[in-house]
Amino acid sequence: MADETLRNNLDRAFDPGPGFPDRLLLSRTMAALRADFPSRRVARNRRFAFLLRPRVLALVAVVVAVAIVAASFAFGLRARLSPPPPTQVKHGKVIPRFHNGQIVLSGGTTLFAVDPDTGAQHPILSVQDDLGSLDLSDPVYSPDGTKLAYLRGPAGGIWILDTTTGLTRQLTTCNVVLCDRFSRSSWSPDGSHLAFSDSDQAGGSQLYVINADGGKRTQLTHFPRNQKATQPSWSPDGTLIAFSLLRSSGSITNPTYGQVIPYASDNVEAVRPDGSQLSVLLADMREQSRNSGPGYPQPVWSPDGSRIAYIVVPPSLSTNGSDFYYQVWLMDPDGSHRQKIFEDHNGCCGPGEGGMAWSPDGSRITVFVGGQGISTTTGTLWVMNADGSDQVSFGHFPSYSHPTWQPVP
Amino acid sequence: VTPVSADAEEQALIALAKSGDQGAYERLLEPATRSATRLAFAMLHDRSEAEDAFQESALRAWRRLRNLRDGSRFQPWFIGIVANQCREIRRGRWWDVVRLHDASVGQPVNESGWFEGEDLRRALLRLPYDQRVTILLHFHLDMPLSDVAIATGISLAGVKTRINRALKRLRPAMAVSEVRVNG
Repeated sequence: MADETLRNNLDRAFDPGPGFPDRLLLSRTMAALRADFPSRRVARNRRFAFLLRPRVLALVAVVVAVAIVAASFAFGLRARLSPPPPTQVKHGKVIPRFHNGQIVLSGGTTLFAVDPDTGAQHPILSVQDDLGSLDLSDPVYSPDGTKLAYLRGPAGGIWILDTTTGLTRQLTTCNVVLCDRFSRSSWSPDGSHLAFSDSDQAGGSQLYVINADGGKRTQLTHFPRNQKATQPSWSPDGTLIAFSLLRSSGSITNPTYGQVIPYASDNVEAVRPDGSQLSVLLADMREQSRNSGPGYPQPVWSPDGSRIAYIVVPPSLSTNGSDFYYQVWLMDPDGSHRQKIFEDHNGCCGPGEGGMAWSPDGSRITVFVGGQGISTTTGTLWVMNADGSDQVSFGHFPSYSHPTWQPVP
Repeated sequence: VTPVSADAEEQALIALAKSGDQGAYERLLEPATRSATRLAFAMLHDRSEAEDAFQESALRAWRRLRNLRDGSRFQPWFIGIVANQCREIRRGRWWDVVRLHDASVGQPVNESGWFEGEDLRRALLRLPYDQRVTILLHFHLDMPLSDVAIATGISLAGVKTRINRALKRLRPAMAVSEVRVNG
């Protein structure tokens, strides 16, 4: 009887009203399907069927390998892709040297640590939540590895875990209900401040800086409502904060289905910590990123400041049956020398459900790709060298947000 | 004449659809349309977005049809894809304040019923995604737990645990003191 009441309440709460769904929905769907599949796909497969012959495949592999090696030596790519060891002094400021500790991911009411070599995991913070809806996410280690900032959502604000004492405290609140996953905070190199994103009075999303001990926040950006600044990353020399600028702007026609859909053209931009000298590092990622919603470039500065890693999620256009590739690219801080170092063909469910982090010594990168397969609850953690080589993946982790890698003195 | 069971007919349609028969795929999709769009509306609170989610999911499922294991049923598998699609759309607008008032499209039965629904909507929105989907699949779409397990990609025990946790959180917003989870 009681569950009937719940069913009735749900029916009332989610009654879409009359005429739903549209009686032509199914026929419209089938028309869209016929417009693209399978004729083109079959034709394409037939045309290139000869490529699948073993001898042709072997020949192509040899040619590609020779070309890559030649290009590497000719243009010095090898040297550039292997980051130099972290420098001690850059632009007159000391960059601390740290070793690589554990990787931390979030999942529901738990933050858990993962051994980057074995994949073994254990919880480091678990929050009791009987009635509420707590959701810990977006953990970020302080530069000395002794503190861990994380979001306690929805609407719980930014909290800090002291990893030496195990105590937590709230640093700041959030203005909106969905101060939630993927906005990601960033520590200043000396650990004294934290950059983060939150909504302003007009409902836009802006960057702010706050003292790590609390106090008044300083607003850095003033974008209009349809441009959302988020995902800050403080440069190791402390002079710039790179961030994602998501811009909801107009609509385009999806090349696959012929639908007119909204899109967001994303930028990677940078601003000084005092809010001055706004600059564009990477403009309009619409060509690279998926075209049916906002992307999440998630720029992350390498520990030595020489490279910025960012995420690209292009549609696969059914070339292998999955929906999106999940890619990690590197670029110089001025937006030049872009290089793809990682691609996951199995990402299926959304560009935001994942992210990456550099190891504290800059030699490795970890990438979390969430929402794989039919399961909505797990993703894969990858660990690799900073040039994308020696990729190792670990299990299925119940997480949605990006990872963070603990610096160990 | 040997009667053809519903399961056998569905498996035959799936086999045809996998071989590229769009008519067979449409016949598979038809009975799933109402459930899929109801779930999408409950997740997105927007009629046009819900229909878009259905359409996108149908195209996505067609492309992935070969991933459907032999002997598996189509509808729970497809509903799982719809749930994923809705989550992706919600992620796409993660910075926006949830437009709760937009969810009030349906006609309230009476004033108290409306407030009850609003409270329930808010409570559901505060649930973690996985728990919210599980509640909607089982109680709103009336899917049996075994189908919910297929749609969410977890075990039957996992579904029961998830529902019990969700009900515990929902209880203050519900007009009932106890809800029993039935298989």
